[in-house]
Order: sequence, then structure tokens, then C-alpha cells
Amino acid sequence: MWKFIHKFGSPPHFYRLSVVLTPWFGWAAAILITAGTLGGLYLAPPDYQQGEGFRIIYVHVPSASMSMFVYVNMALAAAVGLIWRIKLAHAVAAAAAPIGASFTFLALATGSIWAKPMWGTWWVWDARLTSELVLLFLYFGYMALRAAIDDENRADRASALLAIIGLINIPIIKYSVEWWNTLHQPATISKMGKPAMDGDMLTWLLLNIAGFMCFFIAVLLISARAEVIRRARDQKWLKQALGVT
Amino acid sequence: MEVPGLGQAFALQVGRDMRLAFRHLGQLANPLMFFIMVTTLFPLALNPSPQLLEAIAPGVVWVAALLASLLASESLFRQDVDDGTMEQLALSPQPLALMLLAKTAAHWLMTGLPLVLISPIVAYGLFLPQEAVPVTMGALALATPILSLIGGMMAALTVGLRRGGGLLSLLILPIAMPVLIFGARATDLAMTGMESVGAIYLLAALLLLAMSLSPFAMAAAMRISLD
Amino acid sequence: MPEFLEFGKHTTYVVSSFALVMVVLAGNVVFARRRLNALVNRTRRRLSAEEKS
Repeated sequence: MWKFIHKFGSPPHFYRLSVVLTPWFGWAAAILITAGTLGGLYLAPPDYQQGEGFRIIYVHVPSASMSMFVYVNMALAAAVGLIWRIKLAHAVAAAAAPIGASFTFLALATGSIWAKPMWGTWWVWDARLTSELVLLFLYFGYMALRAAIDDENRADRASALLAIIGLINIPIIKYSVEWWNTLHQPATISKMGKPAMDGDMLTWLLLNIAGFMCFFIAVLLISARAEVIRRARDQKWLKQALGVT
Repeated sequence: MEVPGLGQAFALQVGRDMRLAFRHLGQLANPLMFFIMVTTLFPLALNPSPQLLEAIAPGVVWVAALLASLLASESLFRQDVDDGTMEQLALSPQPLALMLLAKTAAHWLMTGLPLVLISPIVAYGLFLPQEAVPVTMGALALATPILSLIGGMMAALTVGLRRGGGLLSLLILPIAMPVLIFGARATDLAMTGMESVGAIYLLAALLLLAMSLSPFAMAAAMRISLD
Repeated sequence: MPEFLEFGKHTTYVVSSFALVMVVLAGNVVFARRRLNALVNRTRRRLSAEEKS
């Protein structure tokens, strides 16, 4: 078991593996997202209540679910890096943060575009949108802390600790926002995006979620490769990997 | 040399920090002044009609308390790190988590507790109904230690950095949001004459969680920063 | 083309949100690849310079 972890955790092995895997995940993402988007836009029936505007769900829900998924993954990678002192895990966490932040931004943006035709305003203090906003702040804090520390090793460990603190707080934040929302929500605003899903809609939605997941892995592999090169201290391996003779 | 026990070390550390703080009373009063000033700004910026002030009072009191404790947490560990005391604490036989908890406790006694005590006056100025005042004080007494602990964790993470200020607020505010929500809701519920004990229980639960976990996070963060 | 992008009365919202998502996703890929390429080139130059000296 330890041998496997050390082999997988070693930068040269990861570098080779990521070069091989990136195109696979990249193309899978392209195909899945194309299929899911076209299916969602043209094949899925319009919602009987929200009409065509409901099609935004095919990008909003994948973005929202990925934003949370990426944060959890980032924090777990950071924890692995902090506890077992694996540099590769820190590299993965550092690479995941900007991707997760852009998913969070997309969830917010599509949510507010959706809110305009549904409720007539660009922003409502809906529980889900509000916790996405807080999640975006968490991502920004993580990235700002990392950027503020010059020393690579210290930046890795300090931001890892912050990510773990954030991870413990996410359920508290989510719960508190929902509690706050149920107390204050005007009765006219019904909950967003919970139309009765029929099987046809769900298929396209799941395709898009799978596509977003593959997209995340592909971009993560590219960015993590850059982070690995940046952290590499072993000159011999670097020369070999980059083809410098 | 005899090593003092955990309780004694805790008490000694709190005592030392309190004595040091009393020598710089001016600095200490800053967050308190800030709390009062911010709450004064709202009647000036809006209009001083009692109905309006009463409606926004819970929000104003809680946001001001959050900002004041944010301001206070900046100076929590800075001086000790600068003059090397923190290195000694990290090397001492006492667990660093306990010593940092003691420092945070002293910090709360000097900055958080005065805020709780002055809150009835501020609440009166904002026309908060009388019956909401005890609940607000109780909720503040539970919430300000949580804010101090969160501030302590983030201050320990950023203590060696030059551009601490803005960064610190970016780190603290998202984490402190549940405290604000529960606290303001407790005041709000008490104001409308409803049962606010639920929000108080939630705050107490958060305090227990923060007290049990954050000292270890603080110690880990401080060790990273001291490296 | 116009009827291809026609979604009832919500056309603008649907099209703009899908377009925004695609732009941000593509931007992520482009940004990550450019960063990696720049870093690889820089490291290569550094390594070969060290080789010569």
C-alpha cells in the first residue's frame, strides 16, 4: 500500500501519467458536454411551468455541484499533503482552487441569469445562491493566502490548513444559510429549480455533470503538471521530462 | 526546574497577557471605540427615526460587533511573534494549543467582554426594544469568544505576512458568517417577542465546537508561521 | 441560424448563460495550457543555460 502511494505520489510518475491521461479526459469532457448541452437545449421537453428558461438548469446545476465537489477534493488533497507531507497533493490542491472558483462563479452567474426571467430580478437572497457566494469567498481567501506567502513550502501548508478549516465550516455555513432563509423567505418565491424531473431531463443533466467532471480532471491534470514543474528540485528528472539534453 | 501544570500555565499566561494589555489601555480601547463609532454612523447616514433604527438595530449591532472583533484580532499574536515570545512558547514544555487558547482567552477578556458590557447602551441608542437587550447580551457573550477564536486561527495563519489587514478580513468573514446569522436572528426573534432560545443553543453549540477544535488549528497554524 | 437559437421568450437568458459557461470553461483550458507552456519553456531555457555553463 505504502509503496503504491509513494510510487503514485512521486512527481515523475504523476507527470508521465498526466501526460497520458489528459487527452482522454479532455475528449471525454468535450463529447459529454456537447451531447448534454445539445440534448438539454433541443431534445429535452420544456418545463410546463418555467418554459424554455428552465433549460439553464443544464449548466447551472452541474456548475453548482462541481463547485462543492472541487472544494471538498481540494481540501482533502490539502489534508493529505499536510499530514503525509506529499508535495504532489499540495500541487493538486493549488491547481484545483482556480477551477473550483470558476465553477462557483458560473453557478452564481447562471443562477442570477435564471433568476431574471423567473423572479424578475438579477439577484435574490436564495439559500443556494447565498451559500454559493460564501463558497466563492472561501475560494478567494484560499487563493489570496497562497498568493500572499512567498515561501512555497509555507504557502502550501498554511493554505492547506485554511482549506481544512473551510471544509469543516461548509456544513455549518450551508445549514445556517438555509435556516436564515426559511425564516425570511417571502412566500411568493418558490424554491429554485426543483421541477419534477422526468427521466429524459435527468439523462441530459447527468451527461453534463459527467462532462463537467471530466473537464475538471483534464484541466486539473494540466495545471497540476505546471505546479509539479514549479516545485521540482530534482534536476535530472526535470531534464528528462522536458526533453533537455 | 519545575514545570507548572496545565491549569497553572493557563492561568499564568492569561495573567501575563492581561497585565501587558493593561499597560496599553489606549490600544485596547480601539475595538470598543470602533464598535461605538460604527453604530453611531448608521443614524447619521440614514435618518434618525426610531422606527427605521429599530428595524435595522439587530443587523447594525451584530455587524458592528463582527467588525470590531475583526479589527481586534489583527493585533492578537503580532507583538509576541515580533519580539520572540512566541518562539519561546512553541519551545516550552506546555502544549502550544493550550497557551494560544490562554492568549485568546485573555484577548477576549480585554476586547470581547467590554463589547458585551457596552452593548445595552448601544442598543438603547438604536431604539432596540428593552426586552431584546438581555437576549442580545447573552448571544454576544456566546458569539464574541467564537469570533475571537476564529480571529485567532486566521491571525496565526497570517502573522508573518506583510499585507495582513485586508487578507485577514477575507479569511475571517466567510467563516464567521454563521455566527452573525445566528446572533442577529436571536436579537431579531427576541425583538418580535418570539422564542429565541433556539438561536442561543446554536450559538452555544458553535462555541463548544470552536473551543474544542480551534486551539489545535491555531497551534498548527502558528507552527507553520514560525517555520 | 435564428430559429436554431430560438427558445421561446427566454432566448436571451438561455443563450447568454450557455455562452457564458462555454466561454469560462474554454478560458480555463486556455489559461492552464498557456501557463504550463510558459513554465515549460522557461524551465527548459534555465536548464539548458545551466548545462552550458
